[in-house]
Amino acid sequence: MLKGSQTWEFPTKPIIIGAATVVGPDENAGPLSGDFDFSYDNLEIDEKTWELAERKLLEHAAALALVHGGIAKEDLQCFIGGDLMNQIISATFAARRISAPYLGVFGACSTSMESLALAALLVDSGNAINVLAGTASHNCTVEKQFRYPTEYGSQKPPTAQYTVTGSGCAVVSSKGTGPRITHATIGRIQDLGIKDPFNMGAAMAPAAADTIISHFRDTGRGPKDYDLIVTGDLASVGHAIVKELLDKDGVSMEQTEFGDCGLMIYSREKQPFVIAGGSGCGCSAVVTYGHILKKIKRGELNRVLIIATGALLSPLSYQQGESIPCIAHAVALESEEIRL
Amino acid sequence: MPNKSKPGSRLKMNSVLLTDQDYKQIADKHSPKKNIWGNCLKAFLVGGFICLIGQCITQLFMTFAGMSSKEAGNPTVAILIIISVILTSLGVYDKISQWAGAGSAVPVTGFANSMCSSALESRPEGLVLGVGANMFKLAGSVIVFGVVAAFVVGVIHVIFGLGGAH
Repeated sequence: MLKGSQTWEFPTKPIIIGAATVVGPDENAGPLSGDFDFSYDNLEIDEKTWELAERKLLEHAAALALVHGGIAKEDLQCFIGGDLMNQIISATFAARRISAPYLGVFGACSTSMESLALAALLVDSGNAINVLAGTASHNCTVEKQFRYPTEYGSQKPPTAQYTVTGSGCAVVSSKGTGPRITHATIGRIQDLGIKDPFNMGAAMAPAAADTIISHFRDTGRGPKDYDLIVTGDLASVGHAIVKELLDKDGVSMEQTEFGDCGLMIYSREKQPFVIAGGSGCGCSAVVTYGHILKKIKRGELNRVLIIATGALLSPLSYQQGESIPCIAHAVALESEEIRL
Repeated sequence: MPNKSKPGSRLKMNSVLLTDQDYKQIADKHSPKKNIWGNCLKAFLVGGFICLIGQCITQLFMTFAGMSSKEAGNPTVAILIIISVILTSLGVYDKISQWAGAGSAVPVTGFANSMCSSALESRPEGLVLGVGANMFKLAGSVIVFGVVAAFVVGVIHVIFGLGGAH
């Protein structure tokens, strides 16, 4: 049901009956290590190529999510997935194994919440009973496709981010128990002229600010209505900017806990190679489905807003001097029984 | 007439309208700058150290293999390349480069690293379309502009007729 100009309200409040996260070694060495369901101890994920590794992460997380949801893949009416690879090969190839009706989506690093919002829409509208939403990224597939060969010695600037190796999947269902999806705010593309692919936090921050403001305007809610508001992968640079933008517009995030998945997943002091923080499709997916959902289930959080941000650039577009169009999609989650 | 301002290049919030120029100031304020002088110093130290290693190898060839300094040049470069390729394959070279910057990129070891890393990365795509086609993906521009620069210097040499060895 449309609320305001760009927010979907889900009257049936679709339920996340099961979710799973699978990560690589660097993510498991970070502060959220206990929250992931499985971690591989090698960046190769026991595979021969980086692309196979990324696909395996997604297949593994999808299989675990189904187990946690207590359903078989035959019970799925749809799998909605996407990733950062050209032609979203990781999601599509993983869909061969899942063998449910498949919708591929691309929202760069916002894919996690884009797929979750669409899954909730399908379930809420009665067009599906169980939908699997999932995404994955791998540090080296992204380096290979968007930047330089992984072993090439180039110096990264202090605004650069480190792509998360990991996959997160969630089963959204019309019945069962678990955290509920109440709203989704679909973002508009924002492009304020940032061209530097090594400063994606700055490129994405306006999109995040726009979606947060739109969400509050459409729903009549404010920061204090949420226990936690997290952006997807703005990291240190983008998160500081979005705070300033919201502050300028009179939205005080002091009333809530305002975080960023890219800052939560790594310890920048102990893992200096992440530079400004984490990024990638997997970043908001593993933090949301691993860390945040578990906190909601334990009753530590009641209402959470997740704003996954995506930089929709391609290697061609930035070489041709184009600025970076960005997007952010927000999904509001609630614990089963609201304890306010 | 094409519209000069790019589509979507303004952020309209509840009470504030930001243009891309306004935003650039905010973004620049929060984006930490590269430490140019620090990077220059590191590049000088590491680049100089690599050259020192090269000089030592040359000296060894001259002392123990009886080569002249000119003869020792090529095998010295070959050894530096082998060291660079080994470090690249072990996944160490890119870590050195994050610290050293141009210091590890400019010497011949950086050239070898660019070829080796491209070859490693494209191996799954096969020998012909993968390794063969991609090995010079980064190094190719060094060769192209190296040849162009050599041509320009050659033309200057002819015009001004400067002396010296050919």
